[in-house]
Formats: sequence, C-alpha cells, structure tokens
Amino acid sequence: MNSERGILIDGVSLSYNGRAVLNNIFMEIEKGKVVTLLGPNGCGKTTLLKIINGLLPPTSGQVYVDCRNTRSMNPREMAKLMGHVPQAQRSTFPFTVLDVVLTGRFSYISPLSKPGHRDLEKAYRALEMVGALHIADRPYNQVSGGERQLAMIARALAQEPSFLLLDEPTSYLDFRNQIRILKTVRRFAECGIMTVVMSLHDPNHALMFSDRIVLMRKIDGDLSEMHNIIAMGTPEEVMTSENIRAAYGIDVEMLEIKGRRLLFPL
Amino acid sequence: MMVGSLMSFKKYLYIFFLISPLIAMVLSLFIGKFKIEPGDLIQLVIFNLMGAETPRPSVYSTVIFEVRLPRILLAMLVGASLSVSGAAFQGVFRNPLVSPYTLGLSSGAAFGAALSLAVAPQFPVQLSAFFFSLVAVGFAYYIATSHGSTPIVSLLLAGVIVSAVFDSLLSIIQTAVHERALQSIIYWLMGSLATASWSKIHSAFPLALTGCAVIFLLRWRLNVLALGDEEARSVGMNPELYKAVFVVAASLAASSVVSVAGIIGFVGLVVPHMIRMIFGPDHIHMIPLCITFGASFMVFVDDLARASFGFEVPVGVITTLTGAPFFVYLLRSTRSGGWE
Repeated sequence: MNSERGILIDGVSLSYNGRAVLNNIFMEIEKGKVVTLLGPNGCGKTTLLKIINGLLPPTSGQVYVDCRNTRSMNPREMAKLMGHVPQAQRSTFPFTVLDVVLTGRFSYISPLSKPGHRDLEKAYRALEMVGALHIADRPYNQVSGGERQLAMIARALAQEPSFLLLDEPTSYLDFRNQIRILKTVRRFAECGIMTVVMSLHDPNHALMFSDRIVLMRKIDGDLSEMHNIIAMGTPEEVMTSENIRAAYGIDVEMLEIKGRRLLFPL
Repeated sequence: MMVGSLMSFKKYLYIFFLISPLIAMVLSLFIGKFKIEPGDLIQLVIFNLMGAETPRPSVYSTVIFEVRLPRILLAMLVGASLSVSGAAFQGVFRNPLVSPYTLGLSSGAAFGAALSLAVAPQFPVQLSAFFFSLVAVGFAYYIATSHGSTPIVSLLLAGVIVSAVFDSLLSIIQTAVHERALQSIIYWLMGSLATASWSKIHSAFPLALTGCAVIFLLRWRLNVLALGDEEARSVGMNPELYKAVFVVAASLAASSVVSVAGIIGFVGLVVPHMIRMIFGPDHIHMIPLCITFGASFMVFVDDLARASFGFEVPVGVITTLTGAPFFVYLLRSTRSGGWE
C-alpha cells in the first residue's frame, strides 16, 4: 500500500452453505475517496461491506483498516472508526429521529450511563450535516423513506467515523432524494472528513459520484478460479461496454454529454 | 401555544405518574371492611415511630401493619416488576405483543406450583414455581440459540413450544389429582394477593429488585437493541450479550413475583403499552414510569378486587377487566397505538 491509511482487503473469501459468494478479493481503498461497489444482485456487495465493517467474519482472508487487522478490534473500536448505514430499516417503536441518531453514540457511552449533553450536541450536528435537523423530533417510522435514510446516515455520522460504509443508500428513494443523498456523502469525502465506500445499483450514479469504481459479478459457486472483481479503478477506466457486459450480461452504449459520460442500455 | 400547553400538561402527568405509588399506597390503607379513619392512621404511625404503646385496640395496628400494608407493598412489587419485565421483553423482541410470559415463564411457574400443591408438598410452592419458571425460560433460550446467536423469531417460537410442553404437563397433574388439590391449583393459577405477608415480600424483594435495577441502569441500551441486531452491532454493541442480560433480568423480576402472587396476567403487557402511548417509546423515561405506574396500577386493581364486591375476586380477573377498557381507549385515541 502506498499510503499508511485506508482499507486493505487481503484475500477475502466467503462461502455460505458451501457456495462461494466472494472469492479471494484483493482491494485497496485509499483514504478520502468515494469508492463504489457496483454489480448485479447477489454479486456480494452487501456481504463485502459487512465483512469490511466486521459484521460478518470472512471464511478466509483479512481486512486491515488503517493498518490494523479488523479481527483484533473490539466492536466499540470498530464503531468509532467505521460507520455502517444498512439498507433503510423500519422500527417497530415510534422512536424519534433524534433517539435513533443518538444510538450512534453507543461506543462513547459507558455501560451504566445514558447519552449526555455532548452526545446530544453531536447527534444534532450529525442531523445538521445531512440537512435533516427539522425532522429531529418526528417519529422515525412516520417520516419518508428518504428522511429515514438521512436519519440512518446521521446515526453513522454520530459515531464520528473515519470511514462511512453505505449499503445501497439510494434504493427505495425518489429521484430527488437519490441525488440529495449521493451529493451529501460525496461532500463528506471532498471535505476530507471521511472515506466513503458504498454499493449502488445505478451505473450512472456510480459514474457521477465516485472516485473509484469496483465492478463486480456474481460468481458460480463451483468454479473456484472465478473472481468477483471484473475491474476496478477510475470511472472512465472501469465503465466500458465490455466490462458492463461481463458484469450484467447486457449491451450498453456510452454517451459523452457536456463532458460527462453516460451509460445507456441498448 | 397549543404545543406548549400540551407539553406542560405531559410534564405534570409525568410527575403525577412518578409519585402515583405514594398516593395509591396511602389511600389504599383506608380501603377495606374494617373502617379506619385518617386520624387513626396518623396517630398509629406517630406512636409507632416513637416506640410507644397506642391507646387504640391492637386490631387497628394488625389491620394496618400486618394485613393492608404488606398487601399493598406486595401489589406494588408485583405491578412494578411485571411492568418493567414486560417493557424489557417488548424492547428486546422489538414486538409490542410480547409479555413477561412469552418465553414460557408462566407455564413453567404453573407447572411448578401444581407439582408442589398436588404431588410433592415437601417442596414449597413458591420455590417450585420460581425454579420451574426459570427452567422454562432457560430452556426456550437454549432451544433458540445456535452458533452463538439467538434470533428473535426463533426465541418466540421456542417460547411457544416450551409453554405448550409445560401446559401439557400441568394438564396431566390436573387430571390426576383430587378435587381439593385441583381447586388450590386453579386458585393459584388465577393469581392473588390475598395471602400477602411480610415473609412473601421479604422472599420476593431481593431478586425482583435486582432484576428491575439491572433493567433500570441499562435502560438506554434497550433503545439501541430495539432497532435491530445488525443496527446494534454496527454502533459497537454486542446484541447477544445484551439480549441475554435483559432476558435474565426481566425473567428474574417476573419469576420472583409470580412465585409469590401466582400468574397475574395483562399487567406486563398493558402497562408498558400505556406508558409508551402516553410518553413515547424512549426507554430512558419509559422504564422509571413503568416501575411507578405499574406499582400504582396494581394497587388500584387490587383495591377493586378486595373491596368492590362482597367477596374477594381474583386480582387477575380485575386486572384484565380494568386494563382492557383503558387500553382500548388509548389504542383508539393515539395514532396506531404508539407503534405500527
């Protein structure tokens, strides 16, 4: 690795019930970049994000974050280093958005204690950063899908992480909210606050908002020589018609409009 | 302005709920067949505090300090423990329909009590009920756990299975015993505070307090846990550890009071609901309010049970009959009953 800091995924494999989902993944994620995992359903994007976050132990291989093996970190250390935003969830109980965001402070609060003034400040700041301060007192299960996603991002921000992992942050969202969320996370990376790793479904979103794209495919469980990663690098390098065909099995055309590349299914 | 006045109304209601057990306790001392005036009580308390002999007949002292006070305190202990236990279970299960009895605790206790009442009188009822209620919960937890994790759905199903098994075992005992024994089993199952005594309070108090205290101290963590296992893990919590801690604490609290008062239903389900509907789901406020309101609710219900008819009605019956309308009112007047 060139720089000391960032994420290094070193030969990570995962099989589930004897079927390989991820096969021998090597990947470097540079600090301060927006890295997008792109690929069809079932290619292992969500799984890989969970492995990076330590939510799921890989069958083999290691993940190093800022040169530390994630296996040697306890959950609290991990939570202070990395925030994970799962796909938008509903809550059974009508907790306020603020209460939900406050749970992000877990690793800073001693076992018998509860959130204090400082935690409350951090939670409000996190909501401010995603532009959702106005919904702080509303019940989490009564706000819109987009607002719920913003609340979960704010919850991860309240952890004050150096890395932000997002699992399909735009699914279930309307057009406006998709762009709003992608712009928001893009801004965090540009300000140098954190490194963003996310999975996306829309190749054009990946083109627009990423510094690096990792294009993945679904592997056939029996072929151990098959690899998940088709290509990784800058959007221009990765997003070619050949690579897209290899990933999704469909033909696309590349258009250049106003200096931006756009991908167009045939 | 509407919002402001509404908030201050809630604040007063909050304070009222917090001090309600004191009010319920004092008022309930005067309820019963034997008439006691406020003056009698004040005089008795003052004389007792000074360690002097009262000029009143000793029956006053007996009724107040040996009959009514232990009964009221036991009712408070039962109400508070079942309510807190229910709140913790609902939080852990992320499900507003569970109660302290969901994991088979009541079925285990019923079997344990019946075993002692009908088959093995050498074991005290209380001990046997306590032991088997925890056996049931432990068994359900064990069945549901695999590879170090305990999924909520497995736990619910395991609770159903364990309950069914202990219910069947209870049925065997019930069909095999004499009528007299059957009667005492059925009476125990209905739950009652009529046999309250200081010794029952002394035996249930330590573990009930321990369970409630653990839940009280860790209550904010229920918020984290209630959002989901993975959500909890990603902010640094070990959900399996906290699930186990809350289930153990809630079961201890519920078992210790069930073993002295029998199976009093509805409180553990309905009190957490009421509190959540009025004050919201944040466990930081919910748990203390469940303790105090659970206590006063149970005292109030027991007052009805012992004084509203010419005879003593099992308190479990009154719990349901008074709790249900209140619950229906709250359900209809709050949006989706405080949960969806």
